[in-house]
Amino acid sequence: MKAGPRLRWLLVAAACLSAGCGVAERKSERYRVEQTAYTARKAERETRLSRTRPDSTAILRLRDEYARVRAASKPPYIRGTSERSRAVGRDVLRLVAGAEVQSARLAMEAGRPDIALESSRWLQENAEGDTLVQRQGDFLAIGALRMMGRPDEAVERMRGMLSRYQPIPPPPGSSEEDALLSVPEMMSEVRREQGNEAGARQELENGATYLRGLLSRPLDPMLEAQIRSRLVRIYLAQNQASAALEQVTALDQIVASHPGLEALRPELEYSRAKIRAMSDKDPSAGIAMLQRFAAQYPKHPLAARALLDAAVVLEDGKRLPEALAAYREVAGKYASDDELAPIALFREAMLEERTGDWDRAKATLESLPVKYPRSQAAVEAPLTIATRYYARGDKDAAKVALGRAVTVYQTMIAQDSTSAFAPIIRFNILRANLSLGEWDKALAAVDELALHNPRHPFTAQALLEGAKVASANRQRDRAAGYLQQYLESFPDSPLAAQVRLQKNVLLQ
Amino acid sequence: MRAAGLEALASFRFYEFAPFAWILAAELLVLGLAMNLGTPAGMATAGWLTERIAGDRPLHYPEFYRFLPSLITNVEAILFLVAGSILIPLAIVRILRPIDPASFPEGETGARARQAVLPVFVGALLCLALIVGWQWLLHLRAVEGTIRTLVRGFTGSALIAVLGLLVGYALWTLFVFVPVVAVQPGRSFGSALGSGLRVAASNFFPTYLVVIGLSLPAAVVLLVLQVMGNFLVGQIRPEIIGVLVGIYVVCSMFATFFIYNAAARYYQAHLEAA
Repeated sequence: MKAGPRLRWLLVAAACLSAGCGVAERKSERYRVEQTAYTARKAERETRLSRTRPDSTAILRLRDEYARVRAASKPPYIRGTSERSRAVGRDVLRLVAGAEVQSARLAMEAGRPDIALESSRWLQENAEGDTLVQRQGDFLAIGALRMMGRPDEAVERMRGMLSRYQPIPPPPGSSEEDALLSVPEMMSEVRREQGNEAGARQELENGATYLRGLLSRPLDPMLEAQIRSRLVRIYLAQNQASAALEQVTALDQIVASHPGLEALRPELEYSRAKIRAMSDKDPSAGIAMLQRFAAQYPKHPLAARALLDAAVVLEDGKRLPEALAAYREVAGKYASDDELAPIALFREAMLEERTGDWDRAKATLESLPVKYPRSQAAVEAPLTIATRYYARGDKDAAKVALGRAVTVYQTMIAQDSTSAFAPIIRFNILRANLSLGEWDKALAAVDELALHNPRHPFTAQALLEGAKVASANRQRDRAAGYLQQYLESFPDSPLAAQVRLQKNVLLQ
Repeated sequence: MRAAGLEALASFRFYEFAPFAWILAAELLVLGLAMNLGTPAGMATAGWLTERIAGDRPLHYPEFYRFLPSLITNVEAILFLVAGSILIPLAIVRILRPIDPASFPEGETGARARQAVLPVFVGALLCLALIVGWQWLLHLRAVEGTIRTLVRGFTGSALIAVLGLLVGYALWTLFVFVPVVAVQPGRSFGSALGSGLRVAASNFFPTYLVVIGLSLPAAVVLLVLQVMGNFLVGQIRPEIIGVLVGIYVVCSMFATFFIYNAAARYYQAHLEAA
């Protein structure tokens, strides 16, 4: 009878201890995961600080460090009966997911999007219903698919994200935008990279519909402001001044009634200026407003865009010296803006040529692949030099420029063979070699495109060109091979029947 | 006092140090568990203590290593306060027995140590309260801000740390003789505490110099931890903090032992001379 209370106390103590130990076990697991992730981050930091830039092998070795985090804790992560235990489990899941995202980032940097895609699959399989992790998985997949030259799948994935997830308002005191809101514009960008301008316009239209749909229900004021702000950008890109103005007015009212949104004021100013510049018969006032905005907020993310917009309107209005000065200001002041500075530099070159300074224009164009090798302008510049020589009637100089263009393109491919612009660069090599009459090199360029970017729209065109060249050079089997590959890669093409016929003729 | 200090250093015996060794072992055990927070045992013990003191925030890697010195100094304070109240008098009796066997007969060791528990505990509690109060005062925004305005950067941080240490050691010096007096035959609670404080006050500077001199190695390590802790965690390797804390704990324990040893010898010599 005496052992009864003692035993009861012992049982209570054991229960308390084991309950505590359950959480302690989860916390120790979280600590181990943090430790492994920290080691990986440290290894990467040290490698990046070393004198030599890490090559792809070194980057993959760093990726392995992040991949180890996955081994530090096994799924399911959110487990246990107590709320505390499950909360720590969620921390562990998010830590592991964060490390997986880092490992995928490095895989892509090393030119291995396939590994990143596997990481994305893993995240989806182990998300345990956590939408944050699911989103990370989706964004990874999008990046990997784009890099692997599978833009259609990337766009479908993005479309799926828009239907699966709801945008999240920023946490109190923050103005951080949910990346989901950038997806519609991203879809349009992918279409543009594919060379599909109509598709890009359609995606923008779909994006506007999606954003308008979000506005149809009550929203957190900050989220509503962010959505309307995105909508303004899309309308401006679509040249829909009145629709953009409507959103700006609504945005103005939200900002006026919520002092916490005051940070959006400059964006409103920019939007109003751009609308004026687009819609007024005399755009001078709009141009002045854009330039004033850039002067007033020189460090605002939209400052460079405001100056560039002003320059474009000035160019459209044939005010070339002023436009040239504005382009130069963008390229000079915002040289670190990899998106806008190359565009400004390219337009600068075009205006330099139009104002009679061809030597300077040529130098500006030649500087583009060196300064901004990962830009559309850099891809266009070498061929543009040759085209301008042809237009000026200097065929010999044009041929020399074409030869130089091929060399520049080959260097660009060697530097980054998996960039979004790689298919266009390979296609430009084909164009240059065709113009030079270098048939073997042209066919080699077709082979390169077919190997690295089998489903890119430019590859379709390249295969048809390649078939023509091969056929003209008595390589009928090779020509038939190109057409066969066309049929396999683009079975839904409206040209498929005609291509099949041509192939059959070649094989007879 | 200087001669007593040198004598204490020269006549080290593990038997006398053994009570301090228990406290040291307990501290090293906590440190070992803290260095293994990635194991359920480490998290259930050192992690549990950390959570009681500062919540969940320091229970992450590498932030935990920024907190480790605080954890160990807290554990050290509690151990000296609770276990030290019996173990320090025990060590002092063992030191004094060969010097004055008549006053410290073998059969009375337990009784003398028990007699000293309350004054030593209260003395340690008062000392701790004063040191905590001083640290609070020093780190008040107005005080720390003024110092940092006068002396900027690394030197300012070092000055605050040095000031904190020097005044902290001065406060401790005031209580060094309490356990020594408390184990003397026939001492009551009040006379042990009062006499202890009086002896320390009348011999303050020589005692303070011995305290500083013997604590120097531990103080240097503590200074490095206080001034460069964030740098070591963020830029070098967080685990270095654990190693430094280990060195600090060992140095500090030996210093404490030698200080009480020297104080006991000095007090006994004075008694004999009187």
